[in-house]
Amino acid sequence: VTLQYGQVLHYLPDFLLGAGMALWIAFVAFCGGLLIGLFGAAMISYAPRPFRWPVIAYVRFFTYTPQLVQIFFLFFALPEFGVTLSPVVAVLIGMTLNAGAYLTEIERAGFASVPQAELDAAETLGFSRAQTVWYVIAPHVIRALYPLHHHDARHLDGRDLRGGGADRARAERQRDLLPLRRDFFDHGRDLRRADHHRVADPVDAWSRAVPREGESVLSAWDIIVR
Amino acid sequence: MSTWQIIVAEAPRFFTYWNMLFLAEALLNTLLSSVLGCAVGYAMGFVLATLRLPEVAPFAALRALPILWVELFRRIPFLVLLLLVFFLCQFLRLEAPLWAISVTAVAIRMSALAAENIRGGYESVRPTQWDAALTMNFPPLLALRRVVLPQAWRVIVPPSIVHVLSMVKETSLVSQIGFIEITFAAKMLTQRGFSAILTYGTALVLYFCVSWVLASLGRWAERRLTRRPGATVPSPALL
Repeated sequence: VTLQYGQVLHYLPDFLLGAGMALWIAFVAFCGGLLIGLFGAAMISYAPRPFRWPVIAYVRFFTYTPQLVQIFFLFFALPEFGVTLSPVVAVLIGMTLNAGAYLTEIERAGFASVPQAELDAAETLGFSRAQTVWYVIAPHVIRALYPLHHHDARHLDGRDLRGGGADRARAERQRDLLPLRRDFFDHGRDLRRADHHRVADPVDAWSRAVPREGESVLSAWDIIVR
Repeated sequence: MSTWQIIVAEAPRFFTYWNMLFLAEALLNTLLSSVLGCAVGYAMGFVLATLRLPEVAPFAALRALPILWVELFRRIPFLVLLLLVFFLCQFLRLEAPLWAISVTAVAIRMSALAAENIRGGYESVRPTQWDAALTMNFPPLLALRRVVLPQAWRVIVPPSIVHVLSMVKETSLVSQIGFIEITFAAKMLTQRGFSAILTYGTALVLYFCVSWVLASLGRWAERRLTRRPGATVPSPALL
């Protein structure tokens, strides 16, 4: 058997078309998921208890079952209820709902990571509700979309900065917080416990919302590349 | 008849002993390929992560190999990796059974994810611990085993259970090469004429139960392992 690239290369435009389709589906599903996630996370964080349960059930169901089977169910089982979807629509709906479930979890961690002290401070300063959401809550939610805690610590690893100084101290402090990092499970609680380093850190919250290289902790990035 | 009435009428024909036995075997196949693959993958990931430590592998070229492996296989989607293994076996004329192919694919993917996870665990241990161990003339691997690993494993274990969980879900893609795991079993039962609501619904319930058990285990492990003495304030000497 010989490998003949020429034959495959001939179909390169088709591959590129497929790549474009993949990107387009991922983008649409991610944007839809972001909205669902925002709504779901706000429901879980602020709605009265009975309203939370359906959202929690939705998140559990979609994070505990494979995406492929969800899409199969939409495509093969819904026609029996009289709803026939085209393949693209089934994939889009399936992926959006799936991404929405994961992003609900992630954004919920963001809501949970807003320290009460910051909300109190906003109230003391006379922030309006919109200002509180934009200046206090939004940076936390956006930061939750990135795998910061783990990778910050790796980025600031002492191995690179044996020179010591303030950076070293910051790295040490970050490393102290490592086992509390955000995870698939119970991250809300973990983030809340990890708050005190932010108070000591005068860096503006927005400027820290930068993506770091690497994964292994569930983040928005995982949902795009999955 | 409405859809529900049809399903209720069909249910006794679907939930028979032999169908359930078939699904149980499929569930066993899912668990086998994901758990075995994860075990092998974690062993490989451990070697990869260890080879990346400058204390263990003092040559940059040696450290580049595991980095290449990890970055490559973390970025390839699982389905593509699976088909790659599948067709490579065909290309090399290996008469590999389907379960071996799926375990291999899971193991390769898992090795990349596990290597990152274990590296995170290693790096959560303060470098001073390495310094102290090496100063006391520990050979690097002994320092790793006696000093670093006992501190790193509590960082490593909880995410690894998440990895097993996500692998159980990702093995649904193995149905694409015809390995009879839950998804493929549901597909076969659908083609045998059962309602897709029943077959895929059962598949979803089975996956949900397995994931539920694993997630509870992970939550329990995380709660146990992250219980540590109250947060420490960095000593003024470090500032």
